[in-house]
Amino acid sequence: MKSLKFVLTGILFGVIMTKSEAVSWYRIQEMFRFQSFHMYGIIGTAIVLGTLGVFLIKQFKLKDSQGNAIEFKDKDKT
Amino acid sequence: MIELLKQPWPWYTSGAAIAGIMFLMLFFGKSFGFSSNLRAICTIAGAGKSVKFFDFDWKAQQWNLLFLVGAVLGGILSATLLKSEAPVKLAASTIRDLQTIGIHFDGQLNPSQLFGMNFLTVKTLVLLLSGGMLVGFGSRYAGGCTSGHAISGLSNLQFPSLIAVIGFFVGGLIMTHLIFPLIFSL
Repeated sequence: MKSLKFVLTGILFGVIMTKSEAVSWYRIQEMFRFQSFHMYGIIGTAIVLGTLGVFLIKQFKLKDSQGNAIEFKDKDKT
Repeated sequence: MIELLKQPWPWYTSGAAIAGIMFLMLFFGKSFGFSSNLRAICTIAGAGKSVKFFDFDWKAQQWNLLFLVGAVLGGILSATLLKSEAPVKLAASTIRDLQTIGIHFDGQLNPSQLFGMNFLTVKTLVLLLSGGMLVGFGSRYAGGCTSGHAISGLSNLQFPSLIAVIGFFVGGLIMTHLIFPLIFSL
């Protein structure tokens, strides 16, 4: 059960990436040629909502499913 | 319901869902970042014997490998049960541009000309393998890929992530506009 939740989240992620066409080579080409908003919309929405959520998690000191504080590791600068 | 899922999802649904995946992982006490799996896989393959970077307890990353297995299954599910019959709505200008470098738009997610078994030539094999190696090297060198840096990193306002994402993007522009015309005219 503990492992299953990661597989299920992965399945959901795979479906999202495929159905949004974010895995499409064509869509990536379209992005790098600035010919559609699609990919920018996906990444932009994810980052805006992600930033908002991370801010709220820190603000309200939310805990994870095991009751531990959700911590954010800083990315290495080197 | 299935019909609703079958059609291509709009960008706002997908973007929100990706943020949702990141929060799910945080709620499970983990973090969202895909390319750490590449390190774990190298370690499983025995790279830890000769390179210190790979000498770590990969079992601590088991959850992430399960997430990766799930993602592959999700991809298969989308390509079969949830497959949309309509061709990808690619911009007409992109279709034209790709035509000039000899890539024909076939309406699928990825050109069979590059990824299809029927077109497996030495050239496509070399292209795919070298592309994979560049992705593997780059994501480890940068300490993350699009998921770890662009989504998790930027959401946490990490400056190194911003630099990495700008780097990814510039790299993509160079590849698309300068190197692709050379590769595909060979």
